[in-house]
Amino acid sequence: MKMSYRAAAGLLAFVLLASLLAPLLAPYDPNQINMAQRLAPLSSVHWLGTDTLGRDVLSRILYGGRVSIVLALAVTLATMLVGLLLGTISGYAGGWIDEAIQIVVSIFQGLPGLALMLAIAGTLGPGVKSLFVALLFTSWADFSRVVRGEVMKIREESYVEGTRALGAGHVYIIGRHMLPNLLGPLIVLFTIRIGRVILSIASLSFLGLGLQPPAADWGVMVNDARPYFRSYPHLMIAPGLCIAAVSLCINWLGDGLRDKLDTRTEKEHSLL
Amino acid sequence: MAYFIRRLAAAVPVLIGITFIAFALSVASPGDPAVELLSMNGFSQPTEEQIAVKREEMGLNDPLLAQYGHWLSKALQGDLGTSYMTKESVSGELLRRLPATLSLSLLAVLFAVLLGVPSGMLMAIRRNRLFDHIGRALALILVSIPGFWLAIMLIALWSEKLQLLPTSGYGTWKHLLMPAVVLASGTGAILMRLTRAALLEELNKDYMLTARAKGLRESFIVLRHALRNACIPLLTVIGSYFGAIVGGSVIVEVIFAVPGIGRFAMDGIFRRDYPVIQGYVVFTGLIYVLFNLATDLCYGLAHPQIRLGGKLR
Repeated sequence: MKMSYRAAAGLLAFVLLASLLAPLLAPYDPNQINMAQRLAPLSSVHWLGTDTLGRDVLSRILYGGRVSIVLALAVTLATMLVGLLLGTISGYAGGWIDEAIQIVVSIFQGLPGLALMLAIAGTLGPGVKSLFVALLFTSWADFSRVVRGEVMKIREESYVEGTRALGAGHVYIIGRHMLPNLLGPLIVLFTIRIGRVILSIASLSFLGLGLQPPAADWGVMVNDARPYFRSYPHLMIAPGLCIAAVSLCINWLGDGLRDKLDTRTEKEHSLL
Repeated sequence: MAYFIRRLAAAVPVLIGITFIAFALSVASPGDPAVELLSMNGFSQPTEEQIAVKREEMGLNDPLLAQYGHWLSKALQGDLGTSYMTKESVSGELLRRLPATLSLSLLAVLFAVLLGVPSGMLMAIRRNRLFDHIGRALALILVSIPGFWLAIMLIALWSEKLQLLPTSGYGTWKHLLMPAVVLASGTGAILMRLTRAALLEELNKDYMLTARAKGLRESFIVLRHALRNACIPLLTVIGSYFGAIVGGSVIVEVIFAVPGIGRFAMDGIFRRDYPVIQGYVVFTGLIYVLFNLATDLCYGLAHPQIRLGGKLR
């Protein structure tokens, strides 16, 4: 692996570790309100100062990625499972089953993702559950399309035909030949998707449709800090940089993984 | 001709599916539409009786499929219902607001192309040289920055510090500049990478070797041969991004107070004004499908091979 990808992996590991150990590292309770200490400047007591309610910004930054990252992992995993299941069935079975599934896929791909995401999250009411549903609904179709394409390619390989001629069943062929071959593209797609999902969660939280105040979350913090941006720009720059850094590292890593694991489907994936 | 008919026919189930999803949203919503409508009317606490009357009047007691059919037949005539809040036609309001969103999206696509295509070309020509490395890093950074954050940073710099551009609003080209840049940043970065990839693919083909062997100048080869062929896949991508940008403009419309359809949808979401949300989903879905269809048709016109029923690669 090239140096630059190692740097991205290292930085990402650092952020993940800091988030994981937040309860041990954070100097204060991230939701402890202290009106006497409102908007305190950077100091040795509060390294990154305090926000409008006197909460310690460093502690909130440390806690601020936890929910988004765990949620992004869970959503992407669920998306991958749905995409893998439907994509494999579609590509392997072919015929009318494939056509029926492809119609559903084309419907979901025919809707602009963000618009549908907003509508779902907005209709179901803000919260983690609506976020999950909204993100799952808007991203499984891409996954299944890539899986289907790969499965259809592998299905035509002579070794699959050979295995079938020897009397192997569908389950054996899928488990033994399809899934191992899908692993590379899936890891790449998974990585890239997580980066996008984290940005989507932050955007929805910023709009007030995702995680809700007073949650210590980077997207919520950016929104909270907006009215005070002129005098206290660091309140917004810090959480914004955290979101950008995490998503940058993940995208960077995704690029590296793609070069290493998956050279065939480059064009499709470069759509990010 | 068969190609065009096939493409048009494929769009029909997509459109039906979009209307179905939009309708399903109102069913999935936690509140009772009759209650929402009555309380917005000024009654703070509608009585049981009022709710029952209203439910009957709105057809909420009919079977779901009948409700969908009723709603769809009205939607087909361009009637997407009336807003609970303003009591005005949703489709009328969407159409009134469309020019703002469209002009913003057009400018954003223009910016994205101006950034993405020339720099992507240069990156491909100077592959693995300094410009390529810088370009790739820039593209990665641009896709990773949250749009809402970039928007606020731009306001801080251009409006508050330098005082050159208005913070928000709509009316002059100056108002559109920053929102369009924010919308274009991610798309422009993706276009950079796509242009680079498409051009590299062409540059590696055999006919390039022939062209070089003939003694043609490198600049002529790139501009005349490679770029022309690389353009076709790029055009389709640009077409479909335009549809996506129209649907993705919500965040910048909210931050920069652009009176477009995204802003309308957000107001609808916060007021639990379901006809507005539904209308927005149908409307953006329709725009998206129409743009994809138009790009496909242009693609078909440009490629006799596809028009005559051949498969695309």
